[in-house]
Amino acid sequence: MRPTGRPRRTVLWVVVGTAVVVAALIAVVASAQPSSEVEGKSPLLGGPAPAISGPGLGGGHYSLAQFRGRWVLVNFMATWCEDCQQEMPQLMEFAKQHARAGDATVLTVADDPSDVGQLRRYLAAEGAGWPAVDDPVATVSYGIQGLPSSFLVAPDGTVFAYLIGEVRASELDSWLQQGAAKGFGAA
Amino acid sequence: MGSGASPEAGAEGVAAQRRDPRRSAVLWAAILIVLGLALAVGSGALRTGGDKAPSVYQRTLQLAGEYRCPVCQGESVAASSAPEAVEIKSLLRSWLQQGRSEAEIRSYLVARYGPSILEEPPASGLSIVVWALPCLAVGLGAAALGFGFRRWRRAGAFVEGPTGLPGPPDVLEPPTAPAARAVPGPAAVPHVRARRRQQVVLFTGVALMVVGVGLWALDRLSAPRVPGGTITGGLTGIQAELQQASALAATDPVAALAVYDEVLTGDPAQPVALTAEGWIYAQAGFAGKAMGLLDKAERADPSYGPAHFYRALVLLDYDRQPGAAVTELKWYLSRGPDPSLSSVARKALGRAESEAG
Repeated sequence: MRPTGRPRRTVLWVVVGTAVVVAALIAVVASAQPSSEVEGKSPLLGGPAPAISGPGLGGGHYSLAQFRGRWVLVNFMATWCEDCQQEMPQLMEFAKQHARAGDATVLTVADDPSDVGQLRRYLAAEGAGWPAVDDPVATVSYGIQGLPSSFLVAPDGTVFAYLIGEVRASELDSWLQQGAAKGFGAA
Repeated sequence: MGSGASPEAGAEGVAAQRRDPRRSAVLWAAILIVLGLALAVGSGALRTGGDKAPSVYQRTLQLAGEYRCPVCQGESVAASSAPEAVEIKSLLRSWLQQGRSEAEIRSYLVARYGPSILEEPPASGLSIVVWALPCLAVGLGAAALGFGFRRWRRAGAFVEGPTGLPGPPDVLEPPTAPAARAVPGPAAVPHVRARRRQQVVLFTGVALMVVGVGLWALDRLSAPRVPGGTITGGLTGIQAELQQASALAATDPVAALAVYDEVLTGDPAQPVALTAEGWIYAQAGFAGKAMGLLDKAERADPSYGPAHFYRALVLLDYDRQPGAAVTELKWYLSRGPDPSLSSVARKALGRAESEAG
C-alpha cells in the first residue's frame, strides 16, 4: 500500500531535518582550526602576567620580573610531551634570532615536577641556552590546559598572546611586530 | 457487592470512596515521599560519612571535586593525578590552611582557567538550559499532575450530582462489573473521551516528572566525572568493602576515605586500607601524610607488595628521593608483582634509576 500524503510529508521533514543537522556538523568540523599553533583564549590576556619564580634548572634562580623590558615567550614544557620536543627547533631559532638584539627571550617552565630532572638533561642535550625554571605554581597561575602552551609576555609585563600547540619562529616574530604596532614594544 | 444492593447505593459507595480524604492524602503523601527520596538521592544527602567535621585533607578533596582537571578528559581535580591537578590540590590545601574562603579560591581559579574549570558551571548562556530543563520538566509535570487530579476530583463530584447520570469510570480503578466493559453507547462517548484526556494528562505529568528528576539525577551523578582509569584500581586481594572503596577512590575520593576510615576504625593496621588512603592523599598532594600511612602499611604487613609500590611512587614523584624509590621498586618487582601494576612499576624504576643516576 502506498503511503498517504501526511506520512510522506513527515518522512520528508525528517530527511530534510537530518540533512540540515549533518550539514551543520560537517561545516563545524571543516572550519575547525589546525592543530598546530593556535591563538588560545585565556582570561589572562591583556592583564599583568602572573609571577614566575623558582630555581633554575641549570642552577641559580629565575623570575619573570627580571626580564622586564624584553619580550618573554613563557613556554611550558615536559619531556613526555612529543609536541614540545617537536617545537624545540623553532624555539632554538627564535632564541638565536633575538639573542644578539636582546629584545626577546624564551623562559621554559617545567610543567611536571616529576619530570624536572629529565627536562634539565633534555634542555642541556639540545643546547637550549635560555633560562628554565621549576615553579609548579605557574601551571595553575597561568591556567595551563595542555601542552605545549606558550604565553607571549610584553616588555611591560602584559600577557599579549596565548599560543596553544607548537610555535613557529616566524609566527612568533609576527606576534612581536603586532605587539610593537600596538605599543607593547617598550617597558 | 451483594445482589440486593441497589444501583443508587453502589453509586453512593463509589462516590464515598472517591471523596475519602484519607485515600487522596495517602496518594499525595506517596508522591511527596517519592519526590523527596529522588531529591535526597540526587543531592547526595544520603551519602555516608557526612557526620564528622572534615579534616583539612578531606575538605581539600571535597573542594577539589568541584573543579575539573584542566588537562584531563572528564576527570575532576580530586580524581586526577595529572601534575596540574596535583598542583591545584596542593594549592587548595594551603589556601584552606591559610583561611581563604571557598569563594576566593573559586574566583582565583576561574580568573586563571575560565568558567570551564568548574564542574558545575554557572547558569548563563547555553549552560542555563542544563539547569533550567529539569526544573521546567518537573514544574510542567507537577502542573499537569495537579490539573489531572483536579479533573479527577471533579469527576467524582459529578457522580453525586443532582442529575443522577452515571459519572465517568474511575481512571485508576478499572470497572469490575461486566456491564462496564461493554461497548459504550453514544451517551457514554464524551465520558470515554474525558477519561482518555485525564489519562493523557496524568501520563504526561508523570512522564515529565520522571524526565525532570532523571535529568537532574544524571547531572548530579555525572558531576564527579568518570576518570579514564587510574592505578588506584589495581589493588588486589581485598574484601568487598575495600573493593567498593577502591572503585570509589577514582571518582569520589572523599567517600572512599570515609569507607577506609571505617575499616581502619575496626582494624587500625589493615594494610590495604592504609595503602589506599596513603595513595589517595599522595594524589591530593599531601606527600607527608601519604608517606606516614604507607610506612604504617609496610610495618603492619611487610610482605604486602602494593604498599611498597605506592610508597616508591610517592618517594619518586612527590618526595624526590629516586634512590629510595629504586630500592622499593626492585623489592616489589622481585616478588611477583600484580600484572596490572608491573608495567607501571618497571617504567617508574627506569625513571627512578635515571633520576638517581
